[in-house]
Parts: sequence; C-alpha cells; structure tokens
Amino acid sequence: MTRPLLTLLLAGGQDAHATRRTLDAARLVRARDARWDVVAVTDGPVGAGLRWVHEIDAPGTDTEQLALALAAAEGTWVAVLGADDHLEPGGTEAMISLLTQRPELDIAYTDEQWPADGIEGMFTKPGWVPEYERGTDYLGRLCAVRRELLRSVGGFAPESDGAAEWDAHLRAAERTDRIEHLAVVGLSRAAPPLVDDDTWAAGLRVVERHFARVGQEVTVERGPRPGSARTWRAVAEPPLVSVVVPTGGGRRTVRGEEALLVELCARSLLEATAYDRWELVLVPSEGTDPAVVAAVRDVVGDRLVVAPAPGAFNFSRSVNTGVASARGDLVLLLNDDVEAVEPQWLDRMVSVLQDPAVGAVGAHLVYEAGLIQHAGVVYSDEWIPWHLFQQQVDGHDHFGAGVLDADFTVATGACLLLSRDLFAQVGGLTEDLPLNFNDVDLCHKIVLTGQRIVVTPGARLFHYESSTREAVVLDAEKEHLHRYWSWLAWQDPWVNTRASK
Amino acid sequence: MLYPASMPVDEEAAAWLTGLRTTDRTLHARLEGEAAAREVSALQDRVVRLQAQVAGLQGAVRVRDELLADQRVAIKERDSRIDTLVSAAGDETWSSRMRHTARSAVAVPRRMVRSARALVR
Repeated sequence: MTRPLLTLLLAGGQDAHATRRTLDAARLVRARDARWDVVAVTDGPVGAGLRWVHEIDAPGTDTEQLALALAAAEGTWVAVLGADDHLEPGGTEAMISLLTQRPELDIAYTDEQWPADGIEGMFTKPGWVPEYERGTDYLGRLCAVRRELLRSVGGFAPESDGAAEWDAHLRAAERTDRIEHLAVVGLSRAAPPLVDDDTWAAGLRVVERHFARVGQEVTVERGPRPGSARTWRAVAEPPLVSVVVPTGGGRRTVRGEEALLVELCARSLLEATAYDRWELVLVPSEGTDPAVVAAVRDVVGDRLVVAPAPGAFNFSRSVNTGVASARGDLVLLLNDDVEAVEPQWLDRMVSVLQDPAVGAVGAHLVYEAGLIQHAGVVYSDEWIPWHLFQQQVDGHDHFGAGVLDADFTVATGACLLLSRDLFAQVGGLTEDLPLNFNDVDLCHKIVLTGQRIVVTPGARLFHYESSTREAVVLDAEKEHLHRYWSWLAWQDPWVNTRASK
Repeated sequence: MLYPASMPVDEEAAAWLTGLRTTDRTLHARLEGEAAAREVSALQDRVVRLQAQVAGLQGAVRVRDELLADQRVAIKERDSRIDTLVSAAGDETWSSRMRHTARSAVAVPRRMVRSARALVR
C-alpha cells in the first residue's frame, strides 16, 4: 500500500464496541484509493480485520494510548479520532486534497458536529485565531498535525491527561503559523466533548504550561464557558493610559434621563474603572460648547488634557490630534458615547496587550437594551466590515466565540487600546477617511506589521452607538477599503464559506 | 493624582501630526503597489480551500451513491422474493397489485438520486 498521507489515531480504551462502530463508519466512507489509515489502540482486541487498520492491544489511559498510536503512525500528518466518532462522508477526501495541494501546512482542521438542539451542535470554526485556541481547544477534531512536528514537541504528554489533545494542539501551534482551516464537517462525535472538574482543571494546567513555554507570566482561571480558560497576563508596572475622547458635546437619553454623553463617559472612567493610571485627553471639535469641557473637568479634575481639533469635523484628525497630546505609553481610543460597566475592563485590556504579539485590544460593547453592539469585526457577504453577533443578546456565544478572547482583523475604534508608538508607526488614523472605516484601516495597518488584534469580552462597556450623527457609509469609504484591503478581507478568518455566500 | 510629565508643546504636536500623515500616505502608497499581487495570492489560497471542499463534496456523493447502489440491490432482492412468494400463493390479481405497490416505493429514492446528482453537477 502507498504510504498514507494521513494516519488517524484512535485511543479506544475499554470500549471495544465504540471502537468497532467508529471503524465500521470509517469503512463506509473510505474510498478504495484512500490515502489514510488508522492506528487503533485499545485495552483488548477489537478484531476489525481491516487491512488499513493497525490494531494495538495495550491497556492504558487515553493519553498513553494516543502516544502509542503516534509512535506507530506512518502518515505524514496525524489526527485524533475518538471512539464513537464517525468520519463524515467526504471529510477525509477534503483533508487529503488540501494537504496534497498545500504540503507545507503543519496543521489543518475541519468543522465538526455532535448531537444537540438545532445548530447548537454544529461547530462552524474560524480560520486560525491563536487567542481563541488559548481559551478553548477549538481546533478540536478533525485536526491533522504534521507527525514530525508533533513528535518534536513531545507528542501526547502524560502530564496533560484530561486535555491531551488541547495540549498537543497548543504545543504544535507554538512552532508554526502554517495552519489552515477547512470549511467542511470532518466528523461527528457521538456526544459533546466531556467537560467535568477534572478535565477542566487539566485544561487550565495545559494553558498555564503553554504560556510558560512562550515566556509569559500569567494567571489562568476558569473561563465563562465550561471547559474554557481566561488568562491574565502580569502587568509589572501599570503604564499610563491616555484615554483619547473626541467629542462634539452630543446628548441623548440614557436610562431615562437626558445626559451629556462625554460627561457620562468621564464619570465612568472615574467611578467604574479600577485601573488607576489614566489621563483623559479630550478633543472637542470646532464649535463645541465650552461648557462641555467644563463639565468634564468637573468630573476628572487635573486628569484632563484638552486638545482642540480645529476645522471641519474629521474624526481621524481629531483622534490623531488627541494622541499627539497624549503623555501615556498606551493610548485608548474611546468614543464619547461609551460608558464603562464593569470595573476591571481597563485592567483586562492592558493585561491582554502585555502579549508582545498583540498590537491592539478591543472590547465587548453592548447597547443599553442589552444587545451586542461589538464583539469583533468580520467581513460580510458583501465584503463590508460588520460586527460579529451584532444585535444578539449579550452573552451569546458560538462555542466560545463572543465570550472568549479571540483575534480579528479589526476591532472597533470606539474602544481600542494600543501603544502610542505603534499608533505612530502605522500613521495613526488616515484622514482620508474622516467618518467611517478609519478604525478598520488602522487595524489593518497594524495587522500588516505582523501584530495581532484581540477582542476581549472581559472588557465590557455600554456603547450608545452613533448617538450623535447619522450613520451613513459613503461609496468613497467602501472604495477606499476595496482599493487597499480586499486581499485582507478575503483572508478574514471569521468568514466560513459554509456559513456565507 | 499628578502626572509630572510636561505637556508636549504645540510645535511638537504639529510636527508629530505631520509625521503621522506622511507615514500614513507612504504606507497606503506602498500598499497600492502591492495590492494586486496580494489579491492574487489571497484568491489562490481561497481557490485551494474551495477545491478541497469540492473534493469533499465529491467524496460525499460517492458514499451516497454506494449506499444507494447497495439499497437498489437490496430492493431488487426483495422484489424477487416478493415475486417468488406471490407466485407460490397463486393469485394473479393480488400479485400485480403487490408488484405495483413495491415498485412505487422504489421509485421515490431513484427520483431523489437523480435530483441530487443534478444539484451536485
């Protein structure tokens, strides 16, 4: 038989029947000229009698059996197949096709599914988004890893028992960025992945060890979704954050009362922000009532810096003007219609930004009515930036997306933290986009430098969006995006062709 | 809390802003020159992924065709068995009705196969 491209590793444990069901299902979908095989390690003989199944009779834990299977594998890539998993028709063909066309790939993974209500069990995954993998093992199955890479990073480590696959995926991903998502359902599990106290604790340890290997000092705690992790990076010396807030003095009704939005914003900085090292750089646009500045000064006192933006309103110029007057190493772009809700929000954003690979951090923004306004920006079917989960009930999540930190190519500039140096390095906000998409352009420029954009739902604020101006997108603004950034839009990891046109 | 760092003077801020604009324009000009090549590369990657998905769909159709072929064989065997039993029972009218009913049931999956094949192609 020709050497297989892909070997599936099956740790069957004591359940020979489940292993047989998996092998029988695999036989049904296997083509005669298939370039994949299986190494099945079980506590007792299975007796499948299939020439493409290498059976090993060796009792042990799942991790031990996976390690044995890996040792016996011959495929260029290997992927874990669980007992009672069913390979989906065409899933392996799609995987083999991708690996044949892209032999340089080190990791390739598919969508998967399991029984649940409606679409709750249909895990449609994004492309490679590293921060998401640190919160939950979304690579999951079917995930093909280059065999030599996996062996070189230690394979399935005994100390990772309970979260061995997550551990293997993190170890492998630390060494490569040649990672590709395949928008097909690779397999169906018989049940959702098991999460109990033991496996959850194992997962947290796996994430801790991952960060230790990459040299980041962290504290890992349980995330908001069962089995998930939330990581706090140590902040040795809290840097000064210059909060840059352009304003025209807009007002609207909030919680039933007429309010000066920037005053609400300032008050929330003072009263709902645990992070103490900040200054407020207010950028009043031309024609703003001086009483607005006075109202903000009454709230924040000597933390206020005023940097007026003369001339016709240009949001980009206003922000740039504010950053020019900023004294902090970090700048937080903040709309005047944003109000902090939970005190740890800025601590969270500063913590995430400690990762040297992260260039900018966005927040989770919510409408007053409790619907999501921003959880990350993705490209729509018409290739226009759109907000993931916009108008969904706050707390909505798709297998952790929406409640766990994740990478995007854009986070809204309504609440965006980055270093002043990086802001300058990429030329700030382009004044060619005076109203819309200037934050999209900024974030894309950051991605171009090789740095990542991460949205953290751990920073949750209200956003009374476009309260003070009509939200109209001009053709020239769309044209700007298409002219410079189509190529990046087409690589948006959150565009899954199974779920879009 | 007092922040001891002195506020940047206006001239410095103005120069800084000018530098920002220059950097931004330079960056966009460079991008414009590279955009076409980047777009081609991105599209090529997309094509590879879509081709893999097509291979997957073809694999799924193959599996379904094999299953349907198995089912047709099973149905044929069952028809044959029905015919044998009916002949043994010796009632011509009853046997023609039974044959018609059995064959109507078989016709449904065949229509679905034809429709599905038309969709995939």
